[in-house]
Amino acid sequence: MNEISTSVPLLQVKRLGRRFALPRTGLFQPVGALQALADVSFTLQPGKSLGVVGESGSGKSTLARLVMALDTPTEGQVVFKGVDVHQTHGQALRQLRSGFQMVFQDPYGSLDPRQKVLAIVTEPIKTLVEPADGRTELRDRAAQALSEVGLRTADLDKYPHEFSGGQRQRIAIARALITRPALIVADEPVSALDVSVQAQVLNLMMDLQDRYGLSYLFVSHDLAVVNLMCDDVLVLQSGRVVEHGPAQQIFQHAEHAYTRKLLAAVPGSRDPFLEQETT
Amino acid sequence: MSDLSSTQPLLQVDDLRVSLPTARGWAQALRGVSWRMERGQTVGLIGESGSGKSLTALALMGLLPERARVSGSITLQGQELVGLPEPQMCQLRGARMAMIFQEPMTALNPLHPIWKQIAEPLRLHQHMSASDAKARALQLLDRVQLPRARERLDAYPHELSGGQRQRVMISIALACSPDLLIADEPTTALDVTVQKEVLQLIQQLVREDGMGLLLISHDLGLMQDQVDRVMVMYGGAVVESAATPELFAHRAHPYTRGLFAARPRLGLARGTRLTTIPGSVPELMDFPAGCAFADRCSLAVEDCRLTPPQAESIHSEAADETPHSVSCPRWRLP
Repeated sequence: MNEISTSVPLLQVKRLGRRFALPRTGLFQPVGALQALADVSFTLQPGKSLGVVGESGSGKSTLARLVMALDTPTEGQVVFKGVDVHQTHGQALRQLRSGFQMVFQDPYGSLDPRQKVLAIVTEPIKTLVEPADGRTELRDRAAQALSEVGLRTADLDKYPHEFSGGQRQRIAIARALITRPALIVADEPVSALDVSVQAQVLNLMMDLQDRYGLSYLFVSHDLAVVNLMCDDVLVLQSGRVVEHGPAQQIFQHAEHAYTRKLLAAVPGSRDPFLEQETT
Repeated sequence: MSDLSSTQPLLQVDDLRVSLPTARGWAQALRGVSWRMERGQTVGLIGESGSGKSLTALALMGLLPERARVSGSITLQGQELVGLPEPQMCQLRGARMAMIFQEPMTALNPLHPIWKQIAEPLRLHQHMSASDAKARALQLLDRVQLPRARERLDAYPHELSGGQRQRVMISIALACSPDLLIADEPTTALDVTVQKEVLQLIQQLVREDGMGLLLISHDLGLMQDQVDRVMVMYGGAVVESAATPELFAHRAHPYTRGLFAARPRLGLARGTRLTTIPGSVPELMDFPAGCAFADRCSLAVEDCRLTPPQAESIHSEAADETPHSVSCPRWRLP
């Protein structure tokens, strides 16, 4: 059993597609449809990270939502540790979800302003029925999760508005970590943060990966961040994969014209000064 | 009058200070900002949130909160703007200086078709008739290269994409051919590919009209490609300013150095830890009396917290008019 489970990839996405129905434009016109995602397949091994890049409207966030089972695909499957997440429902899905958690883009919108940090961080484990977990145990686990992201136990009794943007994103990461997930889906986790804070959060995410062997599905429009964080890169354009491969290879020898266009558009990238500094 | 204006700088800001009321009393949000710029010059303002860069723009436009206390001087072609009564300020705003805001979705009125919004400054400042203003709006939309401009005159903001909306914003700002254009994070809400197009467009229009551009951004890479001169702001003060190539080649202030080091760049090996600036930007009320950066600075000594740093000139190799100045007595340390 153990031998089999090591050979099973952490996440397999097979020919995934999502079509949205558009509103009727006229009484006798057929209903239009938008293919937001089509024929996306990839495999993610434990401990590895995959970056998903593309412009807005390319289907990045749709992919993240489908992997998280927050949305139902019209075609294809998402298989997490050998289980199809879209064929799993109710309590079984809740149990399965403890293995994959999500960090959202906006640290201001993703934390309930009326809840204290303790309630926010422990929410993912409260839904898992574990009667043995008393209040003190919940608090201990929350404190531990906070310390892992560099916050203090005293912060448990504060409200989100008492924290800066970077600290809020740390709370969101602590909430994702508390179930001990194998996969964290991060949808633009640092794009709302300032440069110096962004560096702190990225370093934290890399430290956590080294410590717990986490995998990230990292959605971002910032190619420099993806280059730093990810082993593999998936380039999406209009819902289709135009390029997929190891990050090094794609960033140094992009084959598809769209990938090259994205790379060329990174501000400051063509300056020799910045390149020479990296050596 | 006309020969006077040729010798006067387009914009001269001297020791601009702004205090804002907070729950804990008056907080100094701008602590003595000074610079001057000429027509045709492009100046970049870099800083993180809370550094005072947007507040500087609002002070120039006379859009500060009503209770804010302002001191110092802002002169636009010799005319003093600090303390100018609101009706006079209204005549300047949109006509001689204009602003492009960060979020084109919230800055545009969702209930008016775009031509009306472009026509508004024309009708107010140049007293154009509605039909003339609509014709001018079409020219402006053509100028900002909005595809199928004629059909889109009657479109509402929600029918346009982010990049298209930002083009509409630019055409509103340009409607009355202002002398000074302020762009506050004009491309932050846009995709990288669209970002580049919009910046190139602003750049081209500024060059054609010879106006002054103040570009505000937190993105260092973006500044490098777009402006002649960069000012780095921290804690409500300009900590370093220099010609763009000079600043990128010789970063003097510890904060500027920290910002550069913290930025992820293409070509870094996977898993490389970024160099971070410890801590975070303090609350306005909690700035030390001396250097605002002292608590996060690795070079700081006790004196930094007590004495406000003076701007110091660095001898730059490029002997042009833009001096390289840094507000840190310890910048020579590695």
